[in-house]
Amino acid sequence: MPDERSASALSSTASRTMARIAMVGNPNVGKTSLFNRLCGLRAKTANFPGSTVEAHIGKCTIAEPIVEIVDLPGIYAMDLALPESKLCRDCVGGRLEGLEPDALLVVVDATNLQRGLRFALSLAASRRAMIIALTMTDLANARGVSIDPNKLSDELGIPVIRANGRSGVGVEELARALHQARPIPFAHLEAARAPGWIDRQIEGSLGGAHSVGADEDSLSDRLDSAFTHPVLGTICFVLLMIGVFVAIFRLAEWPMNWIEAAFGWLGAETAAILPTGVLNSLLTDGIIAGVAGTVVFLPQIAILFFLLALIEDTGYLARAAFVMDRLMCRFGLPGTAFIPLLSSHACALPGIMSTRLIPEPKDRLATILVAPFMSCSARVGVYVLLVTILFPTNALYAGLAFAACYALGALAALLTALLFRKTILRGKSRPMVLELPPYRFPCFRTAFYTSFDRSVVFLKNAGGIILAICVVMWWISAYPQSEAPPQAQALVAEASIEGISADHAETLLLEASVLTGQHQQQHSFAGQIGRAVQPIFEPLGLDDRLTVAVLTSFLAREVFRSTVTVLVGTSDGDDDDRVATDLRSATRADGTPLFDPATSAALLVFFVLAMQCLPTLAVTRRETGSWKWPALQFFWMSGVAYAAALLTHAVVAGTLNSVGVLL
Amino acid sequence: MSAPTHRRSTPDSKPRPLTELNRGDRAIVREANLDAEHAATLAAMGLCASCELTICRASGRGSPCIVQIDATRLGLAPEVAQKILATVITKPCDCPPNSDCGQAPR
Repeated sequence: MPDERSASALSSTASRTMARIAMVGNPNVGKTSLFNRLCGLRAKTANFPGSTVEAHIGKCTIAEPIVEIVDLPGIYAMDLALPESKLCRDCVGGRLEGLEPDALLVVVDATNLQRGLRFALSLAASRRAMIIALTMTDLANARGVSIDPNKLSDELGIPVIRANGRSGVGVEELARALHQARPIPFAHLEAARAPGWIDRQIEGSLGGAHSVGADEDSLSDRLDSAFTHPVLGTICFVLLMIGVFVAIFRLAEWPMNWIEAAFGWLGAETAAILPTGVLNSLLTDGIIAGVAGTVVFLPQIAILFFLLALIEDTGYLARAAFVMDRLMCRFGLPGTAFIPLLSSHACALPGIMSTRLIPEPKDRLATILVAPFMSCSARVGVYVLLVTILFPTNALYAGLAFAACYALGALAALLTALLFRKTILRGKSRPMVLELPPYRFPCFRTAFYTSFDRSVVFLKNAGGIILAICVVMWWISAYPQSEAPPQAQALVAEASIEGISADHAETLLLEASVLTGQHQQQHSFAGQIGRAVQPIFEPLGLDDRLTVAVLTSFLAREVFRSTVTVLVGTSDGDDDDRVATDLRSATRADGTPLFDPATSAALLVFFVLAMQCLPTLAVTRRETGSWKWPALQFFWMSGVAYAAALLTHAVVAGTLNSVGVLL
Repeated sequence: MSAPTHRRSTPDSKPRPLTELNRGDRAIVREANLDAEHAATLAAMGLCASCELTICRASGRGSPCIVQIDATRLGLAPEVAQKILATVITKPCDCPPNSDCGQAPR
């Protein structure tokens, strides 16, 4: 335990030039918005070995000298057996290397002074220098309660500053006062530990032990009646989620197009500047194309986290978790699991990252394992292609098939969760105990910071892995390099004959390019592997070309479209209908359609359920701390996908044979 | 027309599970038959023995309930609410809002 500092002013330890302050407090007390006000975008996210809990570290430059602030997760008590509490215990106790604080900034909710002061007094045992930030005073004032921070400061013997992270009121004063943090003097601490001291303080400075928040809050009551109602609450939640999804897909469309265009330009420029060869191919086909494939999802992720932060800030998210708990617990998951599962519809990576909201380890693990079943945006391109092939003229059937893909993914996730919770993750699930924070107008600033932070974490986590995958994928597709086939060489020779029209020459060269691409794919390592495992996929109706396309999409499912168009010999492009028409007319060696209805339906089901995203496996490894869980995730999902696709192929083929109907 | 019904404040001597209490009931928690970890979490959140709470949403047909302790609102799964025993100290009345019955309005 550190020695009590005699000096009142905060001083940094000898090894550091900057004092470090750990920010602690209960959940929902306005800690994050206060931290964002103090540190802005200068913060970074820190993870701790063996833990999924995060802390944010930033520099407060509002007042001199600059201090480092560590924003610890919100906890209810230091001595609870929860990862968040352990992290706070270790940090406050100086057991986290490189994060030992010189002082504690305790954030206390003025509307819940009883709980906040009890928490602050529990921290006094550490003998760290302390300062209290009193938040939510505006809410307390609105309830007719005025609080005197000076009086409280006199009683505790440490600075107590009123500060509002949302409006910024008092933040500068707090920043200046950070250096006046000091341990609670022994005499004050002894007095404060006497029974009834907190009640007396509240009575003395606030006008009654039950005055804060004890009054009837009719608006909150009415809102809670609606939002937590089993039927009305579920309808509200579904409508809100539909709105969120529409917003994500609509708003993200423009920046996604810009990102694609920017990377397209970069790839073209790089290809033009560098001489043709391995480096050119690696940079343009491997790294730039691969990184573009990741970064393109950034707008969706940023918008998703922005909207989720806004919704959370209003206090609604806790009500939604409350409503969903009833449904989710039937599948062995807590109500809070719906947030990661929902996020996974944009991308499984942030979805899995957001499972940190779930306190119970087995609940969290089950959610991580099933999150990739949810239809992410990378699947959308494949769904569109296969649904258009299946139902080229019937928009209603196409729409229903598209919706069924999402429903199938969600159903598979819930049933898998139920199975895992009853077998390998068996154990008593922690029943819901959830604080429902007061309703508030959301703070856009906090939502922006949250979105920015999550986006940076996503890029850092996924970027490195994706980059490595891109290089591997490029290599197995590009090597061993083979010469252009004789037919392609003949076409090139024909195009160079004098007197041939420019248009015809261009057509011949394009045809030669397609044949060369096909030849390269078939003779690459990926093609060789595809041919070797083709018998496994034959029952699904896949020939060797489709097998290669499916295998390469195990790295990232969105490459299926480009791979299959190369292998089949059609040209890729933005026009879904034209690509689908070309693929629909493609044939097998025996002349039968390559994409017959049974094969297309089986492929669609396979893509809904299969684990075809290496970055997701890597993030699962990182979040679970073991390769055992991503391995289980991969084999389970792929096995389920294969079985379901096999069944689909048999049913569709059998039905068509017996009814004699052609779709 | 019949006179408005004044339900008397009938303090219960026998503690009852929170799942049996009605919306608007004010009660004092007597005991929580939960494991130590769970009880500690609830105590840290403000729900502990001898604390006073108000039922904001009653637990009905296996659905969770909402209780308020001072300014804190907690959503409790029925499995948890079932194990928390409390004695009712004030029941809501059905009187007009301005009547001087001294009880909490429904």
